[in-house]
Amino acid sequence: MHEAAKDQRKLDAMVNILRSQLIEEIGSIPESLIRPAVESFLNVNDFPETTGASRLIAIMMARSAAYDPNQKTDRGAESPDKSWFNITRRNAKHYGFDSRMLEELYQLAGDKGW
Amino acid sequence: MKKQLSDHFPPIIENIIIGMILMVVIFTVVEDLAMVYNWPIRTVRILVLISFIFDIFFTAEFAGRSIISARRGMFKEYILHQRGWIDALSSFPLLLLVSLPAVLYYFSIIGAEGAGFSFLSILKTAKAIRVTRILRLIRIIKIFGKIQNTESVMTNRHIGIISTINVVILVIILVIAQFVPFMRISDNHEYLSQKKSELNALIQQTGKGLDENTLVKILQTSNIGSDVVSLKSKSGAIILEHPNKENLLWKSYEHGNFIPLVGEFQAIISFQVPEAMHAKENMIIFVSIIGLILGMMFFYSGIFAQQVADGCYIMEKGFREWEYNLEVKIPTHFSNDEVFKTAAQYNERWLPLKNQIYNHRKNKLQKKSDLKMTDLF
Repeated sequence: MHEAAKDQRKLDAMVNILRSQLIEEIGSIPESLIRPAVESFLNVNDFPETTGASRLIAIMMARSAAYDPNQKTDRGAESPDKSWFNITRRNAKHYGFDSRMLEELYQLAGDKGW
Repeated sequence: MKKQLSDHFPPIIENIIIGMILMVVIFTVVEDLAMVYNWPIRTVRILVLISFIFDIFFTAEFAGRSIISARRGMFKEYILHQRGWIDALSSFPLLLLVSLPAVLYYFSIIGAEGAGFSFLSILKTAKAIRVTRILRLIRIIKIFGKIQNTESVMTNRHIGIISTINVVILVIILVIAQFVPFMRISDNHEYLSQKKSELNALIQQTGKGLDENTLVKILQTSNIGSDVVSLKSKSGAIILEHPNKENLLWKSYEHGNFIPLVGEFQAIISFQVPEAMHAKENMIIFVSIIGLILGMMFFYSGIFAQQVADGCYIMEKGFREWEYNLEVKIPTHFSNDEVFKTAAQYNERWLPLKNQIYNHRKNKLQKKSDLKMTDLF
């Protein structure tokens, strides 16, 4: 996908294919929704021009995949969200996430008690 | 309750022992209250018998644990590291030096002077006995070996060690206080000398115009006479008898025999007052120990867990389980503590690295998707 995304035309073509497939499945869907979803698979370090929405989607998808609803917060431990954001912030480069966005989410998790 | 390394008996017996420890702790206060409030001899006899049963029970417990641990080749471990020394100190010395002589003494004096075990009356006032009785307070530490306040083994052990040190120091101070004049709150022999001096001084005044009736009235109304169970004049007639004679006679010097005073007067003098003071002193230390232990259990164990044990537990779990990814919460005030410095390294280095290793392995093991990007074009 990263190879395809390096070429803007290929990326546009991919978005269109996905859009037409989704329209078949769930009806009309705007491109402005499809594009950030597709871009969310892109590595932020390789594609610094990706939108904020796609960066946030990428982080939230990863968080959702790692989320365990039954995880118990042990006494003396940080909350699962705060821990995850902090660990992922340190690994942002490795996974291609936006480290500044993760930093913000980490701060929010602390302030809001997530 | 979890089975512990220090358990030598089946769980039901271990639970009975815990119940007995709790009961003996309450009983210790009751015994001292009996002394302070001068309970009747019938009640005291029952208390002495109960105390004797407790001491037999704990001596049997110590013997049982010693035999079982010796068979397992862990006798030294039991004595040094499983509070066996506390079991030893608070069992047979109390049985042999306190409760057994007390049972023989109290059940031999059925109002009759000079009964079989009169020599045991010496033990009532002996300093060694008072010192040995203080060992009862050490029993409280036994509770620690049985009741685990938190899940953390380290927290329980440390709280146990600190409490044991504190309790033992308090008990040692109380023992030392029996020998150091300026620390001694009550001493039976000093009290007898003081009481005799006071009585002698008063009696000497009878030759200087004070008649016997006035002397008796003074003794009946003042503190000087509060411990005089009986007073014989020089004619041999009993001129004073304490209204509570029955309850004071068995707590009297010289096994309730008359002690010679000046001018051929004789008196039976009770040691109720110094014994009550000693009981009060014991109770102050006892309450201090209980307060100290409860403080340790309910306050310090939480602080220790928060500042040491919890962090260690999370790090251990994080090292052990690949999927566990919670960070250690580092309190700002304690960030320079060794535990939290280690925790910071764990949070900043190990968890991100583990996350990478874990995801790498997971991806490697995952079956690759049949769908290729080229399929889209």
